[in-house]
Amino acid sequence: MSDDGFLDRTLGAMDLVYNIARRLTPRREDAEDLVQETYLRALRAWNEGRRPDRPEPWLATICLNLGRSEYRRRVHRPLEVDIDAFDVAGPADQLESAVLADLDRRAVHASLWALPAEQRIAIALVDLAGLSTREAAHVMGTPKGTVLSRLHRGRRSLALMVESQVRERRP
Amino acid sequence: MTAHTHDPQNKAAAYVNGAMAGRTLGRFETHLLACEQCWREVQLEQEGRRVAETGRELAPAFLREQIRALVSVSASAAPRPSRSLPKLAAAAVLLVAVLLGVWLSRPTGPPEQPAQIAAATDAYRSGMTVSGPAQRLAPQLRGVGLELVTSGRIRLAGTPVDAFTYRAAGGSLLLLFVSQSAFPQANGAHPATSDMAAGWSARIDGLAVYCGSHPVNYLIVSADNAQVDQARAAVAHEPSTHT
Repeated sequence: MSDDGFLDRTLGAMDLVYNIARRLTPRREDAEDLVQETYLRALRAWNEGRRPDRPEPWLATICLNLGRSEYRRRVHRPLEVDIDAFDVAGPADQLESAVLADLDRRAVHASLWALPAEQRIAIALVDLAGLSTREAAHVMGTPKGTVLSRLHRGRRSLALMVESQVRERRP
Repeated sequence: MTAHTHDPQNKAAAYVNGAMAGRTLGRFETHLLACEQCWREVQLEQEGRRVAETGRELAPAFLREQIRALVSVSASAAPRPSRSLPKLAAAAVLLVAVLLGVWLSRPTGPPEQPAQIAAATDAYRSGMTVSGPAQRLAPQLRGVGLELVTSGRIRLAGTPVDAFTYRAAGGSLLLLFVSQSAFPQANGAHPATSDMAAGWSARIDGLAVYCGSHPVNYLIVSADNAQVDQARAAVAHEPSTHT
């Protein structure tokens, strides 16, 4: 018995699923488990005749639902940061590209985890997984305007966090 | 744009995400030139998006192979407990497993196996969690009809070993474990040749198990006896095991 084309259609979206999973659970190992669980659930649905036109939003939905239910209970609630705690005075300087390039991925990951969950998920779906805002809205089960708002607040907080880090690095 | 409709955050969000069009877009772009607050919101969102995008990661290669193997196992005829069983079903399976364990461990039952051997057969039935890439190259067993599907570093009862999963054309799986240290001898094992130290085989709970120590310490587990025999001959002559 074969997988009936399941892997051919879905394996290309694995980086997308992995990036979402990494923002649903803080431990890398849990994210890997979540990716596997997502594929097993998807395979089951596939074998029951589900054949989505685009596998990316479909897998994202499964991953998000699993992450919200099973995995949320297992992990600590992330630290949520009040953006008012950052200095927002003055116009936003364009971040030097060298400094931005210097930011390692771990720092970005930590900054993402400092965001409220729904903002982090919106960013994961759109900026990291590459879904459109319409698809992200469908996956999150919210109006598109809500996704736009979450994206804006999340990105704004990220920018302010990085600004703050850049200021700290400056002599 | 009037003060009544001035909403820098939502306007910036719509603008940056391409949700504005036509005259609304034109009006907002004109407004941006004069409004420091809206300009700042747009800048912040664009910067935040750039920061977020630097956080993109590639899924580890071994995870891809694990998923291939999981799908392969799920799609094959071989029954395998799913990790995604609902809790109730999982509890029922656990209860059955415990009862089965109690039954199997009764005095007349099969002998209890050393922890590493038991972990190896458990890995065959229930899958395994890889903690990193394998330290050795995977032995190529295509010559005996076995395709590599996963490789990785795992712990067998606390001992780090390289684990390789192979699949035959018919879908059956074979696990190969390679270790720096010798594997313990299974209870009920028989010498593969006249010398037990050279290798042993055993039938453990329906699985064929073979352990060899040359050219490396290795353990093979499969439901198929003939497959194990073919694999052990191939491993013994495989260049990657001679490193």
